[in-house]
Amino acid sequence: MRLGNALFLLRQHWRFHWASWAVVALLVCVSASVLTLIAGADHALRRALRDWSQDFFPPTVLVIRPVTPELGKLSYLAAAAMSLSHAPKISAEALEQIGAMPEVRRLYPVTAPTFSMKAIATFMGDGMETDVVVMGVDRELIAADLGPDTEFEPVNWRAGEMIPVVISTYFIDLFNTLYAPSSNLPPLSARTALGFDFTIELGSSVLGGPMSMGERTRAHCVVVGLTRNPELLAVTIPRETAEDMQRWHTEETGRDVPPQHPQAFVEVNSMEDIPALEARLAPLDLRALSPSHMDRVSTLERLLTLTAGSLQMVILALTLLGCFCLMALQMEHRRSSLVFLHVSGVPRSTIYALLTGEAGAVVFGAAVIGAGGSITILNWGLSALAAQLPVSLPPPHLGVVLSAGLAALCVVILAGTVTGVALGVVAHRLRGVGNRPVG
Amino acid sequence: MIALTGPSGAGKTTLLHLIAGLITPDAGTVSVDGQVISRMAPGARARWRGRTVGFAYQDARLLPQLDVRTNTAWPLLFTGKRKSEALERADALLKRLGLSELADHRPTTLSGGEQRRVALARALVAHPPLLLIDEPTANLDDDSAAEVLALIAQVRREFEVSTILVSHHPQALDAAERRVRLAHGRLEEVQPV
Repeated sequence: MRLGNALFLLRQHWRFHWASWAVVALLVCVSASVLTLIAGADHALRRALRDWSQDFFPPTVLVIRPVTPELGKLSYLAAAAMSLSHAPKISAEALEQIGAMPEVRRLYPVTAPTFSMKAIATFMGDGMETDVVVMGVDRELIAADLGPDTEFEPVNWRAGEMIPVVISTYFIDLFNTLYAPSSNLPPLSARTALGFDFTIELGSSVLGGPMSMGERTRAHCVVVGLTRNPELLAVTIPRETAEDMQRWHTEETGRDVPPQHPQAFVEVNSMEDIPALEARLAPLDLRALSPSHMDRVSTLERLLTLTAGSLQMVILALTLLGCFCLMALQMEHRRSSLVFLHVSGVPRSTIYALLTGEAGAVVFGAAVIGAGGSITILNWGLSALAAQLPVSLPPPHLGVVLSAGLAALCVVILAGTVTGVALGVVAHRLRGVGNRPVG
Repeated sequence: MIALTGPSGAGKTTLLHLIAGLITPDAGTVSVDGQVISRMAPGARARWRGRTVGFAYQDARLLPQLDVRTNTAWPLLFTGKRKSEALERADALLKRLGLSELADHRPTTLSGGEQRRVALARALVAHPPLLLIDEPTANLDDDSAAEVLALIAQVRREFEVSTILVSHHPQALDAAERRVRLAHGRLEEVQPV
């Protein structure tokens, strides 16, 4: 059969059955559009979630902590008998050993002064005081939380130089959700917090009150960065500055207590190195907190995909059911012409090819239009969102490409199944005609 | 021309379908002009049918979306002929059968008798050597039935085509060289023997 003749006959069929085909096309178009939107949204969400989680918990950066006793298993008296000095720390020797381990690419010790400190700040004329935990880290560990030209170097704080500090964004969340409403203060944004200055009083405590040590001094700080790393839930300052604060403590009290290392961060060469590293740390009574957060994120990702997939399957099933009904109805109307084709000597294979071409062209065209429209909307929407939101979204083009791929898959499934359905119906009809008397 | 007669359910249409190769027998073989068509593969049988058999149903079965000309050319459009050539042949046939004035009409605008005559033209367009006609005068008034039978006579005269006709119409039976009566799926009577 000539292609021109086939196209001529298809055109004639479409003109006659246009309403039926239009409903099929609309159904497929809307379905492909929604499927693509779901696929794109799922991809964009998962990508954003992964990016954010990897920013907070880089999978190759681990936290190393001493194995701590579980106080929950101790009686109150036993727990009360323990002093702060019993709290396990990472020794300097252990840090050296960790740094020499083959799995470790880079070691970032965390240094914490051993005495109490409180922060004193004034915000909109309101004075605030709170105990704080100060941690000293290397700049490289928090480089992502600093601007490219932001200084995070040790300073002569004793001479009144401002100490650059990085604070946790959770402090801002706490301020905004608890302190600000109760004190009639406006909420803070991340941008407002940058440049905020306050004072740390060394050797002093709000909670400790009169139990605070006698010697005190003050250091002035300025917020230069914010971190979402939950392991840095403290006032984070340059490590050398923290060590100098400990030296001040020694000078003032005469007690030579070295700075403590409550934890350390290590960057491993790859995630495959984590089990070996854990094995090496065990004899040192240390443990590496593997990125369990990543596991949770992965679970969340799988849940998202499962939800999106289920939704897509339901939509696909409904679409196919609709197409099946519409096409079965149309085949019933066209039964005479299809039968006569067979009677005129047209092999079934040719009839199937004609119907496959007819249904496939309609379904494919409609699905491409639907998916294309969605991809355009998705691309535009993601770009607009990226411009509006203060958070980073994945590059729109990547989502679009993947969405297009998924949409193409849906198109193929739809086209294949619908035409398959058509073939099934036709085959059934032709067999029916052959087996029963017509006149 | 052979006329098949018999009561409803006797198997007349089934016999036509067997001869056309639309169905295969549960037992025995079907031979047409020395060819055992019941043993052919379905595709080969369909192609044989396209070359050999012209079929006209009692309900015409014209395609409502096509005009009479294209309906008549319909079987040729699947044989590899160009559309223009198929339409030319349809036009020529319609003219020869005196149906030219209907060429641009849609089937829905035709009377029952006109539809049967167009269906007959469509069955002849590929010049098959065997014409199978199922109840050509069923549900037609006398005038229309006469027109259809006149056309069948013209076709037999001009096209020299073997015809098997299912009919109860006396005029059709008179015109047939042989009359075969079926009952309960069996040949009951053949005249003349």
